[in-house]
Amino acid sequence: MKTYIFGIGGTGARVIKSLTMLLSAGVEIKTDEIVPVFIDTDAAAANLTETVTLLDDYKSINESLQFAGGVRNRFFKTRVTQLVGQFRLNLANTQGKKFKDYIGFATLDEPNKALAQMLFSQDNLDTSMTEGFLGNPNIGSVVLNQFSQTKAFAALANNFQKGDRIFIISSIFGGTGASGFPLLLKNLRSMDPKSPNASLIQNASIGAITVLPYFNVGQDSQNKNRIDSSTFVSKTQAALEYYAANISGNNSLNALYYLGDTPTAMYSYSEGGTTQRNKAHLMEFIAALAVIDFCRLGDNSLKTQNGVAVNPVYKEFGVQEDGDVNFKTFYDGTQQLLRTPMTQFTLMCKYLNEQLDTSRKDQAWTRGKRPFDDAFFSGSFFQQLSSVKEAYMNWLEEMGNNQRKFVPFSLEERKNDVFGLVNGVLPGKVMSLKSNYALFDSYLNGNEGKIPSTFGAGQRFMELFYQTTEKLVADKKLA
Amino acid sequence: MFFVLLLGNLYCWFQGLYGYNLSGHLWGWEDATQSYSGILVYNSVGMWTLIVSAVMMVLYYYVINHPRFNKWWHWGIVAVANSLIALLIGWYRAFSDFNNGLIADSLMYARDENGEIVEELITSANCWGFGMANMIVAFIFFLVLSLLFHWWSTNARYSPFVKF
Repeated sequence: MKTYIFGIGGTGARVIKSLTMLLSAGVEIKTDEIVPVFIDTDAAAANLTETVTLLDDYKSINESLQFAGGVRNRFFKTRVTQLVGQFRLNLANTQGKKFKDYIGFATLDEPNKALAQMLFSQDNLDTSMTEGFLGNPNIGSVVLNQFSQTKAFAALANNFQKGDRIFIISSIFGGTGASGFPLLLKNLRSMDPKSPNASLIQNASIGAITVLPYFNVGQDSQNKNRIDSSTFVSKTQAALEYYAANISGNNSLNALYYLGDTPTAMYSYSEGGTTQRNKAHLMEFIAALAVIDFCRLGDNSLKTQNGVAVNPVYKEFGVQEDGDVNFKTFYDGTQQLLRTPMTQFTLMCKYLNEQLDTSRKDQAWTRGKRPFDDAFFSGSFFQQLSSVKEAYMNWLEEMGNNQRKFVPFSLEERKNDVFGLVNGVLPGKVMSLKSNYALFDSYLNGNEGKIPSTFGAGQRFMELFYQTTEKLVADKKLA
Repeated sequence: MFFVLLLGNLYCWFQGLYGYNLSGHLWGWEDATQSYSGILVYNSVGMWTLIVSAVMMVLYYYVINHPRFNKWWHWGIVAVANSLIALLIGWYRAFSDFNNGLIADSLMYARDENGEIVEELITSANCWGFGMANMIVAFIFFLVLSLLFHWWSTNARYSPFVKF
C-alpha cells in the first residue's frame, strides 16, 4: 500500500521534514511506502529545499538497506518513492511572473478588468509569484487550479492502485496551503473520468491535516508588511467557514485532523525564498503524527462511495499538561509510538557525534574480517547518514529552542551521563564495570560478531547500531 | 618422559641466569642417592607459573574485558604484572630450599680435602636469578595463552595483535 502525501506550502514542507525524521528513527507507520509531493510556487523556499535534500539522503540510505531475512534494523525502514523530479509538483507560468500577467489582466476587456479589480487588490495583482502567494489564498485559489494539468497529477493517476491512500498537509493561515488544500481535494474527488484510475482516486481514502496559526511574524524592516500575522486569525476564520461548507460539510474527506496552539513563537519577517527558513516547531512534529495515525486507520473506517466519505473522522491532538513538552507530556499511545525509536536513534546520533572519532581507531567492532575502515567512513553511505544525523540533531535542537518547547532529550555532550539523555527518565543500572560510552562500545563489540558478514558495509553498520541501541535502551530502561 | 622433562628443558634455556648447580637441585639431585631422585622443582614451579599466567590471561580478556583497557600497552601492563608475580614465585621456591638447607651439599659448596668450605657455589643471588628466569618463562606462557584464547574476548580480542 502506498500513501501519497501532498505537502502544500511552507508548513507542508516542514511537516514532511518532521515525518522524514520520524521515519529515519524507525517510527512505525502502517504503509509500505510514502510518496511525498510538494506543492509550492516558491521554488527557493529554504524549508522546502532542506526537506528535499533530506528526502534525497533518506531515499539513498533506504535503497542501500534490506529489511527482510532476519534483519532487525528499523532505521530508515519505510520506503520513499519519488513521483516527480525533486518531489515537486511544478506549476506552470508562475516563476518570474506577476499575478496580473498570469491571469492575462492586460488582455481582459473592461468589464472583466473591473471584476478582477474587485476581487483582487492592486497589491495582489502586482504580486510576483516567485516567492509564493504571500499569505493571499485568493491568489492561490486561481493559480493552483491547474493541478490536474500537471505532470505530477498525471503520474499520480498512472501509478495509483487500489488500497493506496492520500494525505494532504497544509496550513490554514498562509497563502499556498489555505488555497491549495481545498482545490487539490476538489480535483481528486472530481477526477476527469478519462484519466487513468479516475474511479480509484475519486473513491480513495483521503485524509488531511489543517494547521491553525501557531506562530507570529515580526515586522517588515521596510514597513511593507505584506505578510501580517495579525490577519492570521481572521484568515483562519474565513477558511474554516469555507471548509465547513465545502470539505467537512460535504464529506469530501475520510479523515480531517485539526491542529493548533497559542501562537507564542515569533519568526523574523520574510516573504519567501532562501530567507524564509522557519525553525522546526512542535506543531509540525505533531502534524507528522497525524500522517502516521491516518495510516493506522482500518480500511473499514475510511470507506468512500461516489467520491463521498461514508463515515468521516475528525480528530484533534492533546497533551496531558500545559507548558514545555517531553515524552511524558504525551498520552500513552503517543509515548509508545515514539519513545523507543527516537531514543535509539538519538543515542546513535550522539555516539556518532561525540565518540565515533575516538572509538573507530581501536575498538573491536571496527575491525575484523570486514572492518569499518577509513574508506567506509569517507564513502557515500556514511556521508549521507551523517547528513541526516546533522539534520536530525538540528531539528531536535530547534524544537527545543522554539515556543512551545519540545525537549524530549538533553542534547548537550555529557560523557559522564550518556544515558541520562531522556528528560524525565532516570536510567537503570547495569551490572558491569563499564559505563557511559565504554558500555556503548562494549555492547557494539559484543554485537559485531552477530551481524552476518554477508551484509554490505552500510547494512552491517545500521544493523549493528540498531541492535546495540535496542539493547542499551532496554537494559538502561530508557523507554 | 618428554612431557615430564618439558618444563625443565624450557627453563634450562635461561640457566645462565641462575647457574648450573642450582639447576641441578631444581632437576631433583640428591647426594644420598647420587641421582636425580628428588622433587622435580622445575615442574612444580612451572605448573604454578602456568596457572598464574592462565588466570592473568582470563582476567585481562574475560573479566576486565574493558573497551578502555584494550590497547597493546594495556596487555603489556598485565604481562608485566604476571612476570613480577612469577619472579616472586621462582625466587621464593628457590630461596626457601636454599634457606632450609634442602639443597644437596655437593651442589652448595666446594670443599677441600679436609672438608672445609672453599667456595659457596649457590648464593641468594642465584635464587633471584631463577626468579628472573621464571619471569621470562611466565611472559612466554602469557604470550602463548593470549594468542590461543584472545579470540572470544568481547572488547580485547585485537589486543595486543590486530591480525593474530
